[in-house]
Amino acid sequence: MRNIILDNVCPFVNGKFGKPTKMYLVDGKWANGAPEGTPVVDAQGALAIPALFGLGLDFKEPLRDDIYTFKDGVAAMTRGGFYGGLYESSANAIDDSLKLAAIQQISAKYGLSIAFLGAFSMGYQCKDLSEMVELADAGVVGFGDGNQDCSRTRFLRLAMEYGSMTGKRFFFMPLDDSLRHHGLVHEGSYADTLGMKGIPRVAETIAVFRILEMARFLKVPVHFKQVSCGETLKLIERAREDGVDVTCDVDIYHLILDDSCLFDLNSLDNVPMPFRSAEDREALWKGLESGVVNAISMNHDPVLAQDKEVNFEDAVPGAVSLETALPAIWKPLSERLGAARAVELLSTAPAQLAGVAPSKLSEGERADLVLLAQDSPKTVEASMFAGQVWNSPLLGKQLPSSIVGTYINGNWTEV
Amino acid sequence: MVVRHKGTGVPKFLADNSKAIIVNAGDGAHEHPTQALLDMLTIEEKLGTLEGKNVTIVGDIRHSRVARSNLWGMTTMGAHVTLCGPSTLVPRNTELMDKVTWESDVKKAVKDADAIIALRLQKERMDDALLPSMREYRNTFGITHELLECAKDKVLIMHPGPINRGVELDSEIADGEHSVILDQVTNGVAVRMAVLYLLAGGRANA
Repeated sequence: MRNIILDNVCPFVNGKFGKPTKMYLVDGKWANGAPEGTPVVDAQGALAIPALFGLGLDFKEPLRDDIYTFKDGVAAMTRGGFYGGLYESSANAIDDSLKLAAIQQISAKYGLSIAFLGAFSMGYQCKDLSEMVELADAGVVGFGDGNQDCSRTRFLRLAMEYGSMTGKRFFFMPLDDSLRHHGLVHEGSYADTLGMKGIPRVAETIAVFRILEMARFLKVPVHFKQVSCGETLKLIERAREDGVDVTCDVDIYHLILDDSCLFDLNSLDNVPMPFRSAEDREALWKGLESGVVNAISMNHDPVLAQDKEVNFEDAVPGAVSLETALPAIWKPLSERLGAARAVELLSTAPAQLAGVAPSKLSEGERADLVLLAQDSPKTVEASMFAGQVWNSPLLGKQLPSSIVGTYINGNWTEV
Repeated sequence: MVVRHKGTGVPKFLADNSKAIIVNAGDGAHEHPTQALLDMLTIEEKLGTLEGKNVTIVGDIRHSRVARSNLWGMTTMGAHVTLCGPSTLVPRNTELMDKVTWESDVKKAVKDADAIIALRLQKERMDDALLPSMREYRNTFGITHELLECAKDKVLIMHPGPINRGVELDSEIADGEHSVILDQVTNGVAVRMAVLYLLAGGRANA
């Protein structure tokens, strides 16, 4: 449906929510009227939030389209209120311009604002450099590691040094693979009680320190994906004070869950970056408050049911997030940090990191928005997820809010 | 004794420890003095002088003894030298080489050049992960017809040889009107004859 009138809606304008009003959404814009016969939705005081921007999208297509496709991913974005995102697929390294052109072509069919990270090494193998100059010319907004540790430090140096010619930012998920050593969960009292192999915090901080030192040496901007512990934030803060151009995000689930969930032995809680302690979770929240953390990321990583319907340690790590992120995080986030900072962390800041124009609501302008009933709890069910996956740690749990509908790219979708 | 060696400083070591007259024919990535002499002679022949001329050297500066000898020789003779190459193939610490200009954008580097020296790209640089491919090198730093559209009409094109045609230098440029590469070869014979002649003349400090 292209046009819609939202009645009794509170739009987020100029940093705050306005009083209940009527919004005419016509041909992708917030208009001052609508053609006769345009359907009306009584929003019952719901919030009209600028559409979100998702860092960490992996839609698996083309090499693993048996799991998930771009079409599935776009459906998830539409349901969750995302107008754009930063794409990096661990299964599909964008390491040459032909692969970039192919994925850009697929993406263009859907009209969303999706930016792409190129791989700085061929196949994420950290053996051969990719043609970063050509990839940058062809439109990648930065270079990533595919969430795989680049343990060869000299290669890391050469990649960042060569890539510095492009001026693009390097994105890393910092986790030292040799210290991870088959670990799947945070190395803490829960892991030790359960007898599970843990990943110590130093697996992250050592990786971060190594990259920060390289960034300082080579004067290359870097971004850390899915920072999970407080010690990392201290390192980032110190490096920033020293003039290193460093940004970071925290994964949405790391703000909601900690390693106490391990007692459930639920394979849906098996994610690449482990849920750490409650103290770490609180440190991440404080990082959002202080501004050390730039954005909240989604890391939407579909996993087939057959790969999750096994015991925890045999499950494939990964979680989908797009459909449930906003109703899960909005209340705690806006109550603790205020609505303006919440919108910034979920929409404008991640878009800025990807070099994409922000979504904002202003009468007469293009409008992409998500309509949220913030005091309307909803239980997460498998049917809420696009595609054939439902690998969410929140499955079966009650979310404090619910999405009424979204208006993205000129289309109203009732959720 | 004419010495070419992979180790920096070997000619000096021999000179310090022998009564023989030593000619450095290239030591590591340090110096290649006779190449610089023949390059300077070629430019002087074509342009009349080095004084005030702009010379741009493009390529693997980090591993190039030709670039190092030329930057000292040419700046001494009054030329302005610009060095340009991929960030993995240029030195990072250039404080002691402050008489030259470092430029990462090859189009800017060649814009005001009176002479452009393209350096040979060793294939080993790809194996060592210093570059992704010959293809991207050519597209980014290769001396091509398109690149020369950014340069002066009468710019000289030089190369120490042997050329990787289609990599650092396109054939149409290497064999074209701007090229003085064959003059470099001819002058190389003359310069080296002169060096040997003068040194064999018994003047130990020549």
